[in-house]
Amino acid sequence: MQAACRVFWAKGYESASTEDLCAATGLGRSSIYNAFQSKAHLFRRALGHYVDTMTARQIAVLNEDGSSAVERVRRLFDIIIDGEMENRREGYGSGCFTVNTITGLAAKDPLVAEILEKDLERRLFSLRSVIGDGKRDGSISSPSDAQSLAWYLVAVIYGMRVAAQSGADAPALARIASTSTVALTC
Amino acid sequence: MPRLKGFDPDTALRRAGELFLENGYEATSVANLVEHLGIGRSSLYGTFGSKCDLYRAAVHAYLRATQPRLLEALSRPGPALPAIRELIEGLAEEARLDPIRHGCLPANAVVELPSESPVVALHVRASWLDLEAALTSALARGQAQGELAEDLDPSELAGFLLVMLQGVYVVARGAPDAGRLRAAVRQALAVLG
Repeated sequence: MQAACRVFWAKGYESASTEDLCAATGLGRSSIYNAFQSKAHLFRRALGHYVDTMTARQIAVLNEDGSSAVERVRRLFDIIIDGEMENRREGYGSGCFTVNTITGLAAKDPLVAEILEKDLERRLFSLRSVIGDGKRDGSISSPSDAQSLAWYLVAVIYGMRVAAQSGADAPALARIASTSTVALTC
Repeated sequence: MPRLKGFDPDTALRRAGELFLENGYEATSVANLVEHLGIGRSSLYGTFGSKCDLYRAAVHAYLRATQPRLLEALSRPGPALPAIRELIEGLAEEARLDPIRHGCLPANAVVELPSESPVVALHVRASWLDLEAALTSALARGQAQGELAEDLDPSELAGFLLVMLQGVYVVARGAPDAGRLRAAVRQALAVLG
């Protein structure tokens, strides 16, 4: 599943061929389609696997004990930047499978849209909760409500993904992350 | 050359851009393009070359059509900050009202095919840097006019605001809800004071 996920992430749904998927997973054509029925089914499973893994990691960082809420948000930005740098190919980040899918397939497949919608709800829930912590521990002093701030962070993170794909390097992304946490005090 | 072929290449490029915005590069077939542009397959190939060449030309045309308005808005004399706020809020509002047509083709281009088409990526990157430079100058002008706190760095703010705007385009594409987009933009603009 992880291998299939990498193929769809890098190539998108349309360009990922059955040959690519077989080569990456080490499975034969008939085993793939016996196991997953169709390319569309496999894509949804791969996307589900990606969002579960990625979001679980991000939520874990946001829930870590022992540091202020804004520190945990900074740590979230750090792992996003590290991830982008690890996945750089020829100077460009691979961005985020989720963002790539939103700008591509999501509008056309309601089942894909549903996977993304549920994942977004989980991320927003977790962001609202860390923002609530920040309002209590004083590290997030913005008067805006938690839902607005959560949407703001979602937009910033999507933007950083797009920037990484257009070639922004780690220091540039770190500057954006740093300015964006300033806004949590405004 | 265009007249001989019986169609206007600028219109054709704009329409191709719309189709690529709506469906993405891969899912847009040459047959879709022929139908949407209302021109024959041979005219399409004859004028624009391959689908990839047409995509590149459509992204260039999109930037030529959208970029001057943005650069002009940022270089107008007078108070800088209200113009910056208005521009960014306006772009987010356009994205909300029509996320497909006002989505950002250059942003989609980098999301969809950075390694397959390095020329597109480089061109998008260059126009991005132009816009960032114009926003940085506008913010610096605002600072010189006493509108922006002395300790803020115009170039860092410009980079941040543009990246956030790209994120707003993605949010609009996924779920164009007025409240959440405005909230995100308002929060980002709050760093200006």
